[in-house]
Amino acid sequence: MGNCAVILGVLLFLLLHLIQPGKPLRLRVTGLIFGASLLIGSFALNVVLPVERSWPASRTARLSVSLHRELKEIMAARPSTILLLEGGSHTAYGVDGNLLEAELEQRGVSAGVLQLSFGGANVFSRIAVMEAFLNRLSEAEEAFLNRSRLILLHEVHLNYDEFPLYRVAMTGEGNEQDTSTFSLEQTVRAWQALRERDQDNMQALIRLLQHLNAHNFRLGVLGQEEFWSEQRELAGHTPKPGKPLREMQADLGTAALAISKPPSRIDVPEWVRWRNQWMRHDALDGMADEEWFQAPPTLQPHMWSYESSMARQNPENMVIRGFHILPELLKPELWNDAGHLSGEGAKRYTRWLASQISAKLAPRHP
Amino acid sequence: MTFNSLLFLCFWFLVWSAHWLLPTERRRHWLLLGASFLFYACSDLVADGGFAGPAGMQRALLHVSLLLGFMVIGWGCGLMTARAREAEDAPRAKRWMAGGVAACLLLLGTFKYTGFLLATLQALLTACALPVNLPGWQPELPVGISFFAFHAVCYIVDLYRRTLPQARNFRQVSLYIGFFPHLVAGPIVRATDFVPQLERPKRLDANDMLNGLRWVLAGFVAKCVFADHLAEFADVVFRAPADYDRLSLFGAVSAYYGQIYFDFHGYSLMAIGVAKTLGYWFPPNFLHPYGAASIGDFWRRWHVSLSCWLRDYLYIGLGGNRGPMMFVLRNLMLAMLLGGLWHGASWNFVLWGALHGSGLCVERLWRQWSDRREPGRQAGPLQIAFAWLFTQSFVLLCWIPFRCTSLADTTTVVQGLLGWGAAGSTSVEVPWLLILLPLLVDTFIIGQKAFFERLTQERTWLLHAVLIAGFFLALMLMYLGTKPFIYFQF
Repeated sequence: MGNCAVILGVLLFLLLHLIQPGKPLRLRVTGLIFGASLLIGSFALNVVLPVERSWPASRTARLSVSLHRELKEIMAARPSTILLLEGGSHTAYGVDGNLLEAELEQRGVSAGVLQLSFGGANVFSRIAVMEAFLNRLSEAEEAFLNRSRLILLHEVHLNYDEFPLYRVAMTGEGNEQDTSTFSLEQTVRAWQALRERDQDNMQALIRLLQHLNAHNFRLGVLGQEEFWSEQRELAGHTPKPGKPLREMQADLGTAALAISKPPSRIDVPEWVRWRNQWMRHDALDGMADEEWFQAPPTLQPHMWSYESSMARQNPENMVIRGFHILPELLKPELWNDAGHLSGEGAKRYTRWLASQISAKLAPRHP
Repeated sequence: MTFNSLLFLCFWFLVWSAHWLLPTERRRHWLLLGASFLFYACSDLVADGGFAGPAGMQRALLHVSLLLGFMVIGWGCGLMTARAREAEDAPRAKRWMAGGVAACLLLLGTFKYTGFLLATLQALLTACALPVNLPGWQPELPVGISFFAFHAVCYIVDLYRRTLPQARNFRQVSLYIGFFPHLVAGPIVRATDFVPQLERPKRLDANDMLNGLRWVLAGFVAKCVFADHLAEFADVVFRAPADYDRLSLFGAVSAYYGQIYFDFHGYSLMAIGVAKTLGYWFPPNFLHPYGAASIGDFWRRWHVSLSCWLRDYLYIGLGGNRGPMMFVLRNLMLAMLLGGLWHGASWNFVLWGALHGSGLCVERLWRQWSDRREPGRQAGPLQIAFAWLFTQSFVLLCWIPFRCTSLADTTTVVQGLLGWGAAGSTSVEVPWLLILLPLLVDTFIIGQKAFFERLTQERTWLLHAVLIAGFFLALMLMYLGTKPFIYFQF
């Protein structure tokens, strides 16, 4: 919450205590004044406040600001390839962007890495980050990105691919991203996606309506300027907050047993294709030259099956499967929970990811 | 259903319209009673913005029956107590009163403390190496049970003490116990304050409406603008306190100091405002407690309805200030320990009550000693400032066990703050302006009654403008996520 918002709130609180009713008005007059004012006020608010003002939550905006800082540093190094890492918590906590750059450098690949992923993000908030990032680009930055080989590296995650607005629809635990992050125009697309997935889900519908309200009536527009968000201690990496879970030991055991079994078949939802197009062509304005996928390692066997389906479906074999490094990661200190790597786990996965990316990029960087 | 939800806004508007359309008080009471049951059932029927399904229906049925049970106990035992009083049969009146109070406390204890008692007993048995396995049974805690149990007790005891001259009919008693503005999180309105209001005919008054809306909006700002934004910061640090450095921990404890005040004060203001629009008056629940310069003064200003209840029905019942100092201190300590336990079945709340109880005991001894040494001596401004700083630091530290989920976390935070243990290295930006400005304005401007009354303006048109503009401004400033009221869990 910004300082201006705090001061406004305090002033309002003070005024409400300070001003008392004096000579009473007639009830009908009071009712009329209130009714008319509420109508005029809601209309005026929509006219006076521009849509962009209330569009992304500040976490998105702040992330885009930090991205621009990172972009400036990358531009100074003049790499020929830029990797855009997009995803949710699995990528944010599992991949260290700076380490990835250094590892690629060691392998003779000159590449800059921009971490667009963040914890708790659903598909729509991920798109909002891209849009916010793009909207803030200067001409020089845009020209630089257009000159570079821009690779959009999507996160592969069954839950988010299978269910748009996953957290709302499946777990009922909505977060601020579900209500406030994605832009007004995306509400319609979110609804389309939900319908395509046959999610006749009341909670998701209510969340969408809440979102629509939040934007149409500018709810929380000033309060969204939050003061706190996950701090990136290291540029390009967000350590997962909290302590590792105790149940993880059991998950490690299950994963060790299941690792040698053949994967079951899980179809890749049709909407994932148009969602990716939407990210690449609309949100990034067609700037991305290539589209790759990476599936961060998890201890959940159904995720491995999905990775494998993704890899089969992609003819150019551009799916980097974290499953392949899993046998090296079956140690409790490398995990925060069954889906998220710890800081040390993230380092190991990042090094391995660098080797995979450099192998794919090598032909262009002899 | 919470006061800061769209659902409540619709509910309130419908109940308000129907209430003032009905011609007689009797019909209005039945309407309010029905609305209160619906309001209470909604806390189980609605989950995450949707219908909670058959499980929710089952829970709602159980919890509404429980509320009805308290109403029946309150009405029945109250009636028998009053009849025995009229017949000048004091022992019978006492038996009915004691029976009613015991039934209320038994129900409260069963739903709130069974799991805690069993777990404690199990820990004791394990510590004594006794191979007995107790069942780990804990019924789901019905929202607001502590509040409506205390309302029922208050009604019965007031009849026994004759502060309430005569028993009322079932409709009136039920409405007193279950009136929706105070049903789930107080304030604990005294029977002597509320019941006579039920008999007075009410008329729709524009100034009452404006005042009601004023308090609802002020409460909304306190809850959704101040408390919820503070919670956003405090919750993250308290989730893993071991990870954070000393400044971040201090910031989080300070944020919680503000959060809990604005959260509960906000709820109380909204309850007072909603009741006002329906023609009922509730006494204020907070009197700027962070301006208190002693622990005793703090308890005269913090959650006034609970502290008065504890004083009148527990402390005085235990003997109060009568007898030697040792007995007075024992009574103080017991009242605070039980007050702490009332907040929740956890050792953290017991610790919180014990800390405040000890603070009150030390203060009492200090007063006695200083009165003997220098009778009638008035404290100077510097002493008052020091006493204020000391009191508020104590209150702030006491919120740590109240907020932490376990004694281990409490120890971690205290060690981290005092630099005794190895503090974490994560640092967060502390929102000092958000923590300090609302508290300073509330305590040192609004809380200075004589000064503030001179500033107060009686301007109906200006109040209209402030309410309308304030409504939109509050919506723009509000926190968009969901942060439940803290006192719902008690």
